[in-house]
Amino acid sequence: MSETDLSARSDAQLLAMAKAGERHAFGELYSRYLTPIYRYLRSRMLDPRDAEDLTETVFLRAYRALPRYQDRGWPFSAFLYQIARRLLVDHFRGRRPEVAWSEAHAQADDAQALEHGVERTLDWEAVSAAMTRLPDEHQEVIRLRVILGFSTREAAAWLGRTEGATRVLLHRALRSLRRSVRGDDG
Amino acid sequence: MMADELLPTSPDSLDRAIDRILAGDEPGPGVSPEDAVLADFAVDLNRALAPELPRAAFVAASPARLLRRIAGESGARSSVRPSPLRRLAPALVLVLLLVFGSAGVVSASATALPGDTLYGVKRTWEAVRIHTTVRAQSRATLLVVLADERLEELVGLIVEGRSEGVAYAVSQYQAAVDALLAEEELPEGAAEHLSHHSAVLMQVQAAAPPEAVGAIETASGTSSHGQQVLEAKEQGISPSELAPGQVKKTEQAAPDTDE
Repeated sequence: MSETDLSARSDAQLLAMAKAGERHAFGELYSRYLTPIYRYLRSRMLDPRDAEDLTETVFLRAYRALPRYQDRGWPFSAFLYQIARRLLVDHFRGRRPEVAWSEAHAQADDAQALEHGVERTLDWEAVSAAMTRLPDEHQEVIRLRVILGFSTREAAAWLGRTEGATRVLLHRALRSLRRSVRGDDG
Repeated sequence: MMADELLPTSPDSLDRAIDRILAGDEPGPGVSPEDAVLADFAVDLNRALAPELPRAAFVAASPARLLRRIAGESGARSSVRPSPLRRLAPALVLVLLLVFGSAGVVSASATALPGDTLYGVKRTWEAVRIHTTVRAQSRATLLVVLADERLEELVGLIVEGRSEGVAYAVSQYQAAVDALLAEEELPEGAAEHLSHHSAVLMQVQAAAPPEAVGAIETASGTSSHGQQVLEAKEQGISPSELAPGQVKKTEQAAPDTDE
């Protein structure tokens, strides 16, 4: 089957083919979700090579689970997200979580501000520290909806929430983060 | 501007404003000043922190590499029988903890799953936290966090294919939800947590081994029931009117439905 044929297939069709042993169908799923999974991992990891390694591991774990996988109304990418989150927990076991936006992003922001002759908009170290103080669900909704720029629908599907609940969560999360960055969350 | 200042802050208008600003437009009408500021803040976060796309070389090479890894997978997974020493390990770790009072061990146990060496340390530390949390509201907030933690453990076991621990993890999840439901004062959004639990359980159930599906369905029933009890409490209805046998099963929220 050609790559063009595969790219026209739905996730459900590709999953069925992959379960039947057609590994290239799983390769198509990999190509389809490589970027969002990588970017999610990269948003939480300083080293891009670590994010690349973990991206492949996410899909390898998903492939191993494939014989048991059943469509229960949630997108396949939401399952990949659950695996990615779990792998991050393992990755950071016994270590401080990395915040991919501390040093590197602050420097980039500084450089951009210098280039455009404007002041840096936010103190990214303060943002980074404030982010780590947020509850996990607040961090996640900000990552998916704001940092990665997912639509509310996509973010809701990954988070396992309704779109309405995701909007409410985002509203609360942004308010908390901004208050914390401004130092008036006491 | 006076009219703007009277606009209520709203998750919906914030959501729309973020989309508009990201698309290069103005926040749009009907956005309160507070939400406009939050939308600008969100867009600042996006512009500064959005991770880059994967490297072209990685995108080009990794599908073939993954397929090779898949092809090389034997599929045979060795069954690990815990050794007597491994079974004793949590007790040994606890003794060491008591002797050395190591905060590092407690910290390292934070991500332990049932069956892991440090799991006993993690649970002991949680018990200490519960018993030393006096304020009712703080205690209820902690119990929500612990119910979340039991869910994370359940998800971790499923994702890692460790089905032998799933039944125990489900029983612990049920106990955590029961403890939460028994609280008089509940933090805002507790019901929403349990609604989220149901959805996550459905997501991971999709790939759970057959022997674990029943246990996960049990956990899912626990979260659904708990959600209903908490919602009833929030509305001032007596929880006793919502005993498990009396609660009608509700459908899971679909991922693309709105509230």
